[in-house]
Amino acid sequence: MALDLNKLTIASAHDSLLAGDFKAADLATAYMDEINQKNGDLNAYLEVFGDTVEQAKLVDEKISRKEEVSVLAGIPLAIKDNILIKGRKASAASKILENYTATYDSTVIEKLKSKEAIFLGRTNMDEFAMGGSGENSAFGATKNPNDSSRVTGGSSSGSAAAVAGGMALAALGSDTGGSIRQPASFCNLVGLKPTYGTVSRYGLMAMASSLDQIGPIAKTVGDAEIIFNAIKGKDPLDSTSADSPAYPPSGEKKIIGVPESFLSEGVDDEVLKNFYEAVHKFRDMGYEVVNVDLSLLKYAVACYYVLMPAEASANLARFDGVRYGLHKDGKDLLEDYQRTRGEGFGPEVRRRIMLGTYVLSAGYYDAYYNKANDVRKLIKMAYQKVFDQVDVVLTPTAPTPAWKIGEKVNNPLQMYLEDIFTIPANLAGIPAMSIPAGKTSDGLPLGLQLTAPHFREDLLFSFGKSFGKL
Amino acid sequence: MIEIADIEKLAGLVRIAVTEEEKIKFQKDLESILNYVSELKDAPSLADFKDDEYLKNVMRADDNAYLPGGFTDEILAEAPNRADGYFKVKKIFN
Repeated sequence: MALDLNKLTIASAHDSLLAGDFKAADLATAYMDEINQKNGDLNAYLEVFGDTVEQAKLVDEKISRKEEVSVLAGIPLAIKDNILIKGRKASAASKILENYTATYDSTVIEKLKSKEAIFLGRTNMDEFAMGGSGENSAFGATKNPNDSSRVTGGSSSGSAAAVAGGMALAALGSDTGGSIRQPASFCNLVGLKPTYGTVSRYGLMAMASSLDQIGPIAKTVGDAEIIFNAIKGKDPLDSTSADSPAYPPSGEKKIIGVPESFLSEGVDDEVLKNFYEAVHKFRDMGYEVVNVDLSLLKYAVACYYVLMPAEASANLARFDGVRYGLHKDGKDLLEDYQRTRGEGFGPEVRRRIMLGTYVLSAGYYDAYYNKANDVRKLIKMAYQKVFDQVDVVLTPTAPTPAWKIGEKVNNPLQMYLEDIFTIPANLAGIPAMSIPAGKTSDGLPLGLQLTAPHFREDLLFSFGKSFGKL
Repeated sequence: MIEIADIEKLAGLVRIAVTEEEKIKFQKDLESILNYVSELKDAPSLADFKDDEYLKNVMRADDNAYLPGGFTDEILAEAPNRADGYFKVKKIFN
């Protein structure tokens, strides 16, 4: 049987592997061929691993011996460059870690290895996951496979481009303010940010620890669900992780909330039109749609751009040119630090470190950091109230489709405002998923975002699958 | 208002060398971002927030310590400068 990568899903590939339609080694070879053809242009992978076919052959041997294998055995995945794989380079697309080799496996990688998934390579990203376009990589922007003059979104830019470009069956990304969902939306894919704590962050390079979460980017809701189930679970190495559900589950009401007032400003006309078409589709399927009050979300971006840089400035203090990574020599130790960090970090990373240090400094701490923490709690409470009434909240994933490469690089604030719909889920710690919702008249993909209560990924999957059937 | 002097102070605190050109750019960027996040002052205040009953401290016994030296070679292999099983840095006191 000829391998049609376009139509392949994780489940169908698994069935074909068991039926003997093709071997895991054939699958790995087919993806390596695609990467060799396309990666030079799209810049999705920073490094492709040389041993993928050997990894796959081990799976083939097991299958030929009729041993039981997991649904992910032999499935070729792309891994974001801020997730550690022991013995592999992990740079977070930063010059400061360009030659860093991971000394241990992250928990998600350990879990995927135990299921015998195949790692094709490590993917490009905004440096230290700071960005919403992929343009902040120290190793060049990733291009959108749908239109190579446009951005993929970010920060998980390479993971989205790898899957959308047929260079991986699925991928892992990380999401602090939308970094899985927004590129998934720009690339016509499914992207899931799980409930905070559901997936261990051990071995994920920390950006903002109270917001970061690892999750899948995939072609279908079913594929995202398979990966989510494989990587979730409490981990003694991450004290913030939990077995779901830590919150009591409630049933399904078949009611969808739409925060009308939150959609009234700054949203592209085509995005809005597409969104209300999606709302009508849900209504036609028998779901009740109600307006919900989430007016506090207008403060979400401001709240995020205080808390995230504050946490990032602390987390990135560890890069000192002493213990690992880049070292630039100065006349004394202080100058070593300044040169290493000045030359090692790109402009956006330096901007956020300075911003975070500013909002945490004496005299500004109460006005910025403490106030933002209060607003974060209020946003969480507002969602809890809304979820007493509805199953999921529906919004567009992003206020615009993918923009031209270079269009927004000189205006950081404008770029930050692109995260308006994705940031709230990170602040509240609740799960959210972007699903493909159609295209603009220019053929640019648009995403629909479903948001559910804590630990209710099941609702995202069931609503997402229903929508996909239309 | 953010002044160039503020940027210089911040750059010193975060141990990042910045050029004269960058100071001007960062001054402009930080001013527009801080101006935007200052909207927070109009947000409602927290009156009677009941802390989330599902959030709790996670404790563990202080045992199973790593054996000294167990990972030294692996970790030091990533260090830019090392000597005799230690990280090597410039002296701090003259």
